[in-house]
This record gives sequence, structure tokens and C-alpha cells, in this order.
Amino acid sequence: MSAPVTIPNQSIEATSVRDKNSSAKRIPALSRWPLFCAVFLIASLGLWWAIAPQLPELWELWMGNGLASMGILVPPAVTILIVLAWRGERWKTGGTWWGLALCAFTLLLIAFMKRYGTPVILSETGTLHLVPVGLVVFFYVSGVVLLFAGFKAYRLAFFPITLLLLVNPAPKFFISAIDIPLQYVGAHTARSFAQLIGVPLASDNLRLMFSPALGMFIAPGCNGLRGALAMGFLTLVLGYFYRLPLWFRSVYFLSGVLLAYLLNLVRLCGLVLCYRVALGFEPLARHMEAADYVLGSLIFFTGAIFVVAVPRKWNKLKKIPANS
Amino acid sequence: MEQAQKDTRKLVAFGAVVLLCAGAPHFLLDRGFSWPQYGTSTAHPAPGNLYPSSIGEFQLVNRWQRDLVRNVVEVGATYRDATSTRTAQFDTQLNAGFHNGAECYIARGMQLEWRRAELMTTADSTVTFEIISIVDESISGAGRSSVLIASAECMRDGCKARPLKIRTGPELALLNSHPVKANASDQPGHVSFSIIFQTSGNSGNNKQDEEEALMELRKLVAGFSLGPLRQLAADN
Repeated sequence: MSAPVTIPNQSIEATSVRDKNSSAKRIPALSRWPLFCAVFLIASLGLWWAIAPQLPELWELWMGNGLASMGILVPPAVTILIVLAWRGERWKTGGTWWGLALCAFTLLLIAFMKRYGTPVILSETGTLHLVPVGLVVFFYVSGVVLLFAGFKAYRLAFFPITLLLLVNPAPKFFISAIDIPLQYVGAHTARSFAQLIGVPLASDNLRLMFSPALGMFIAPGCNGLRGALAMGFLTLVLGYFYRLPLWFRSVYFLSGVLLAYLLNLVRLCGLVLCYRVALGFEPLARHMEAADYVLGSLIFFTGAIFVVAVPRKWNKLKKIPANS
Repeated sequence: MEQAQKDTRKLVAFGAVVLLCAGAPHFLLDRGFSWPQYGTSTAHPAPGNLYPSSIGEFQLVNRWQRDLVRNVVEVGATYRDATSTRTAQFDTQLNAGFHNGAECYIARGMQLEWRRAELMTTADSTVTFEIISIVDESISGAGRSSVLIASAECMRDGCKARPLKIRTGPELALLNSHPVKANASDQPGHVSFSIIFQTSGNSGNNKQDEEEALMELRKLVAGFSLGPLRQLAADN
């Protein structure tokens, strides 16, 4: 394996070659850190020019939509994971010009969309954006990494870069297709549980009334999607962080999503119990919303602890045969 | 050394691509774009100018004004009759583009029962409203109340219905994703207006209750003046 350009002996060699071949026409060479800073600045400026009009919309989405708010964690998570992926790695610099082609294609695509509009599929369910902001950022960052760092560096950072696709983790089209059915599943589960424990329930559709004045509505926030998305994101990052094998990572991810969804059903059943207690205890009836938050947080936090423990346990089990 | 020069060449090429493919489109096409300045939009009408303290049998419950996304301003009021069986929520949106208030309900999964255009007489004009009936899923009234939403767009020279867009199949389109620019220059001054009218049915017959609700909505609209909304559209 050839030594990286940054090691001292190679720098000396490079200096001597420069002395021998110096020419007035030659473009002055930049050393590593200034080069990195220049690339970072130009790439950031390009991204800013390209997607500035979409940033307020993205910010509003993160700040105003409880389901999509998780997207705000994506940029810092990607940055940290890329740094971790490249930490300690030494590869010969020298990317591929294909990266420049990818950057140019992406920027031209954005310019086309600015001029003529974003391609979308309009339907009864909603609007499906064919080129979402996450996709163009993913292409652009891929291009920059390929251009300056090459295939090996890109392969190492591929997963974190792919996470950029999740800057909007809950596209409206997808959510509007599954939101209502999941709400009905939640309502049906809570109603069945109430019947099972003998709570009289006046109910129809998404409403569950324990008394004329006390009841709950299975709103979009109650259908388990938020927990499923958060747990899915957590399992994706942890699976990568702990270097789980791909097949196990897939199982881990799917199990995390499913677990979060099931825990939400447990939360709804727990709420039914709370309402039952509140029927005979007036002060609690006034704080059912707070009870919902406390119950939901506790259940999700317990689930998250379990999910975090799985890859650590897996790695420990893997080390035992290796050591023995 | 050779590698460093290669990197420098790449940097120069990358800078040129960024300048040509991102910088030039930005300065040429994003000229109308500006970051939203929340709470600083020019038109902030006083709710009291739009909504009187009573409309016929209905008394004012509350009035509000709030800034929504991208300089959109919402001005609303809620009215209720003496028996509290009929509630009407008036909603006016400025800088919202062409907007049918009913779309918000349908987009959130409310079931549309029927829709039609209705010519209604207001206190100062005759206007065609887009009326839709939705299934009431609210805690207070589910299954027992009728919910009607009447929508119209008001401009300087009058108000008219803007039909609800309901698609029958998927359609590929290019969507202008530049709302600030679109609102600022592509559309004339106008305001979106809607009334959400909820009434508890007495007959137990949905069809009959809806017809009664529609009649009551007509009576409500007859006492409401759209003049201030047209003036607002002209000023906007």
C-alpha cells in the first residue's frame, strides 16, 4: 500500500519534485488543510445558492411538524458519522472527475426546477415530489466527495451520506397514505382493550368516550408513526455505528420500527386504564393530556434502552468465540 | 506535488461549475426570493374591522389574528347562537395564494360527503360559494352534527367561488415551488375566505339536517358584509 501524501517523507519528496519541475504556467499547489477548507467553503456556497429558497420551508417543516422534526438531527448526525468513518483512515487522495459531472448535473437539475418547477405526481392522496430536497443534497455531497476524496472515501462514508435523504423523513404523500388507516388501527386496539377490561365506552370511528365529558380522539399524533420513525432512525444509526452485518442491521431496523409501533398500542391501552381510573378520580381527569405524555415518554424510553442494548450485546457475543 | 496540483485543478473546475450552475441561476432566478420576515407583513387588518360583534342571531365568541408561514396572515372569528347549537368560524387568509379552506380539512383525512356551488346573498352582494359537507369527527359533535364549509376568494372587484381541486387519477406536473415569488408577482391582490358552520341536527335524518344547516348558513351569510374583505384585497 502506498503511503499517503501527508506523511513527512512524501512531503519532502514532493518538495524536491516541485523544485525540479517548477514552471511559471503551473497552477500553484495547495496543501491539505487549505485545500479542505477551500473545498468546504465552495461546496457550502454552491449548496446555499442552489437550495436557499427551499431552506425556510425545510426549517418550518422541522419546527412545525412533529413528525418531520426529527429531520433536523440529520445534518449533525451525518457530519459526525462521516468524521467517524474517515477517522484514522489513510487513503491516497485523488478523486474522480465523475464527481464533478455529478455535481454539475445536480446543480443544473436544481436550476431547471427553479426555472420550470419541481416535477411532482399529483393525486387524490397528495403531492409526491419526484426530486425532494434530500435527494439533491445527497447527489451534490456525493459528487463533492467523489471529486476530491475518491471512491474509497465515498464507500466509507456512503451510509452517512445516504442519511441525507432523510432531511424530510416524513414526506406528506407517504404520510397521508398511511396516517388514517393507522389511526383506525390504534382506535380499534384501544376500544378492544377497553371492552376486555369491562369499561363501558360510547365510541364511533376515532373517538372513544368514557363519559359524555371525558374521552379521547385518536389523532394523527397517536398513531405510532412518530415513535416508529424515531426508532427507525435510531436503529439505522446504531446499526451502522456498531458495524452490524447488513442482514442483522436490516432485521434490527425492521424490529425497531415494529417495536415502536407496538409500544404505541401499549401506550393507548395504558391510556384506557388511566381514563378508567380518572372516571372515579376527578383530579386525574383534568390532567389526561399530561398523563399521555408521561406514559408515552416512559414507554418509548424503555423501548429505546432495549434497542440500544441489542447491538452492544451482539458485539459482545461475537467477541466471545473470537477470544476463545 | 503532482497530486496537489491535480487537486488544485479540480478545485478550480469545481469553483467554475458552482459559479456557473449554482451562482448564475441563483442570481438570475432567485431574485424575487427573500427570507420570510415573520410578523412584518404589510397587511395586518384588525379583526374588528372584518368581523362585527354580532351577525343576526349569532354573537361573537372570539376574534383572532395570527401569522402563519411565509407571511400568510390569518384573521378569524367564532360566532355562536344563543342556544349554543350552531357555531360558525370565519377565516380570512392574506398572502396565502389561491386557497380553498376546505382543502385543508380534506388533506387531513376528513371525509367529503358532497360539494356544490351555491349562490348566496350577503349583506352587500350576491356571491357564489363553494360549499362542501364533511363527516364530523370532532369529540363534541361526531355523528350528531352537520359540518359545512363555504369558501370564496375575494378580490377588489368582487368575490367568487374557487372550486375545490379533487383529482380522479395521478397526474405528472411541474409545480412552482417558489411561493413567495408566486404570491408576490404572479397573482393579483386577493384574500381567501371560508366559513365553517357546524350545527347539531335534531331530526336524526342526516339529509334533512344538512338541508336545515344549509338554510341556516344562508341566513348567517345574509347578515355578513363582504365589503371589508374586498377592500382588504384591494389594499393587499
